[in-house]
Amino acid sequence: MNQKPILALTSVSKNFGGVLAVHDLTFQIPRDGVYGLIGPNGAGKTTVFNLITGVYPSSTGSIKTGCQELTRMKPFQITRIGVARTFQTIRLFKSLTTLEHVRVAQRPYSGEKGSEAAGRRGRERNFKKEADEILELLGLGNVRSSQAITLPYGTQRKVEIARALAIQPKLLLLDEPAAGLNTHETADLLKTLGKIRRLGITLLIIEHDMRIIMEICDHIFVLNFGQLIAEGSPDAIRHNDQVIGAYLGKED
Amino acid sequence: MFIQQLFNGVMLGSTYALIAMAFTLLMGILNMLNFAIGEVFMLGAIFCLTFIKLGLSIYWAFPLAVLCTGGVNLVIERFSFRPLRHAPPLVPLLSTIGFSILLQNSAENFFGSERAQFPPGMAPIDFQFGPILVSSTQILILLAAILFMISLDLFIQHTRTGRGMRAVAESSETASILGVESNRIVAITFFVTGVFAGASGILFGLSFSIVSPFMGIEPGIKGIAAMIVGGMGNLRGAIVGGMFIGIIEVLSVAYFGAPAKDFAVYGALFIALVLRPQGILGTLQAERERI
Amino acid sequence: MSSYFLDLLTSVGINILLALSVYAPLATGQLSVGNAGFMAVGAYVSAILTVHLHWPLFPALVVGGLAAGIIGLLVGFPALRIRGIFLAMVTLAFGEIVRNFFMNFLTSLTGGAYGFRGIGSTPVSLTWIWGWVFFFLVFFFFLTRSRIGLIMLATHDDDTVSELIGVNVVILKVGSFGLGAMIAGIAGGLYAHYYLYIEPEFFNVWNSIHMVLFVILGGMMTFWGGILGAIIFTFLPEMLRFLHDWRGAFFGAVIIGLMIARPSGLITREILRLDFWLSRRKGNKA
Repeated sequence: MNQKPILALTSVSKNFGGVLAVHDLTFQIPRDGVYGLIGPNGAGKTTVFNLITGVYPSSTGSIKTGCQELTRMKPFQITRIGVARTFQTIRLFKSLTTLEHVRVAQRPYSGEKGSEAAGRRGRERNFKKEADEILELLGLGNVRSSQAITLPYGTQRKVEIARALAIQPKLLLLDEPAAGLNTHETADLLKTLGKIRRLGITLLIIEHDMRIIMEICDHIFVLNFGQLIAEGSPDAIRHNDQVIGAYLGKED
Repeated sequence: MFIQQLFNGVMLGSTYALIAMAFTLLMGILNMLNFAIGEVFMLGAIFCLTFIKLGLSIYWAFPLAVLCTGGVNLVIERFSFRPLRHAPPLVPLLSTIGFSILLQNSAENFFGSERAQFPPGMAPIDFQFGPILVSSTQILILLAAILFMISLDLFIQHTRTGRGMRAVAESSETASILGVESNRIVAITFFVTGVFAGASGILFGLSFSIVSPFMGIEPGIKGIAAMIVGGMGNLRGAIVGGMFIGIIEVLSVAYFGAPAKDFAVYGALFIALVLRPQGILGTLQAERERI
Repeated sequence: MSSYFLDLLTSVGINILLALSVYAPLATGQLSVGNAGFMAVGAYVSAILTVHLHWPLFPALVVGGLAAGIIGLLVGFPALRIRGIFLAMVTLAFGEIVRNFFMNFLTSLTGGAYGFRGIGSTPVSLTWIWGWVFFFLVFFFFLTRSRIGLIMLATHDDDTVSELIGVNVVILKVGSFGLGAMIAGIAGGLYAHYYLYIEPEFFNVWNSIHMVLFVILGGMMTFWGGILGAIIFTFLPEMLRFLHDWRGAFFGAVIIGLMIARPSGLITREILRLDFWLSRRKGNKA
């Protein structure tokens, strides 16, 4: 079981009433590491995330994590087996505080690291401790009681990531986590992503900010018009003619 | 017999269609439901009857009454819409519910809660068109309804103000950048909607010989139902929806008796919403807009 | 205690239950404008059981509530695909269908449109009613502070994202819909056995709308809001007797004014949160 890739898409297509947003997509992510998903606007990147997490049913093909076929599952089931995500536009719960965002995502089912052995009381304490750890990891300790949507933009992004981490995922999908961040916040994000990687969580990141992609990704997938046009190490991608061609004329 | 009932259904349906258009216009342009339209409908009939009792002929009373109901709707705009422009949509809706209660109670106090009728001076003459029996009142009403529907449709499609309305419906900000005066458009929308609802009430009162402070409750709900069944924010959908509900209502009474009436209408609404929430002429919001 | 005052306290109690019945689905983002229908189910079912089958009161009330709850679950499923105003209309239509049902069917048992008289063999006392009120107050108190309460709040804010953090939104929403229906059903049973007479006309759209108003004007983000709304709007007509026939107009004007001045209702989550914050030392909340 551990030999299976943590994410495997095979011949995945998605049709929106005549518009083929994703076309015969096949790629794999073995365990561990940071992976990038890039491509010009409209290439279908967010659609891929939506397909993986079950927001859209896929028209054809298979999406697997380990041995489990995701295309048959509902979104909440997919989350519960350890696939979490953030969103292109921040989607926080407007009534909840920072801490509550973490607490609400913690569920008494076992994620990769779930502690089923612990008794009920033990689990309760465990949750509180885990929540505190997540907040510490992201530097959100001092805003734990603030209503999350009142926080500055960069902090809100961190809350979204904290919420996703609370699920105890094995695979974390980040959709443009650096969008709208200034230089300082971007550097901070890079550090955070490093910390998450060291926790043993596999990351798949959609980004337009090439500095982040090149800096932290082990392997990059390039999408254009819903198809995979290239994949490889950052260096390989940097010099790939097709990739450059796809981006020509577009601002970075 | 069936044809007669069908015709009656179309008659009833056209009044519902008029109210539905009033709801739809506002919904389509401002994404707001004015729950008090049913009461504006009622006030049309009440005002008209009052003017007639004061000595005016119907040819003066009718336009005067609908001008008044247009005005009433402007008042509603002033209190339920303008200050609440940026609130979640539930808030203006509730405010109009408040107006609904206010208007109903006020009408009850000023007018008395008994049912009244338009004076029989407009005694209908019956015509026979093949298998259908039609009264002159009904012909007038149908003509008036059709006239209103067509003129509103043309107004929206072909006049500058109409185009302005459609622009505001798309995006209030873009519209103002393009020089469309949103406030004016909104006021006009409310006024026109009020006129329509009031006219519909007068026609209803004439057609079914009833004027009372409570006459607007059910037609109001059915107007909303017609709007939804026909397809939200779609004027032609409102007409289709209104006809649909009117015909169902009449046919169910004809074949199953009076108690079946509400059953059939609300049952149809329930099923329609569950099976096809976007309505007959509506379009499903694209799947991809969810995230 | 005078009979008038007794009636008033009864009304408050029943209205509180009705407010809670609207609050339950609203807490997960579903506006139901048809709870008078569920109230009717509970009223008629429990009345038929006590009058025709000579059941004792408590089981009859419970079965009435369960019947309403089950129907609520059944309506809750198709309701999942519908939102906002559409859902409000579906529930409104449903309420009217129920009212019409009791007007035209089972009339030999219930008297149909002429009303169901003589539900007098097992009358209900004030204690009964307030016993149920207290029970549900405690229930909601603990529900709101629990994990489920937090999940409901998140689902209310954004049910798509809620599903993506592992919440089984279907069960949550349908369940809360059924819960609200059940509470309305119990309120209906209590109503029937206190006033000893019910008729379909009573369980109409405006009744449903009033219940919704309790919650929205009182504050729809917490269950206390509906309770406050129910209390205020039960007592208000009495206190405004001097207005005679103009009470309705006043009520309407109050709603209009309140929506302009304080659209989030009287009790908001912030108010409650501040209180907690001030009265606690260490942050061992949540």
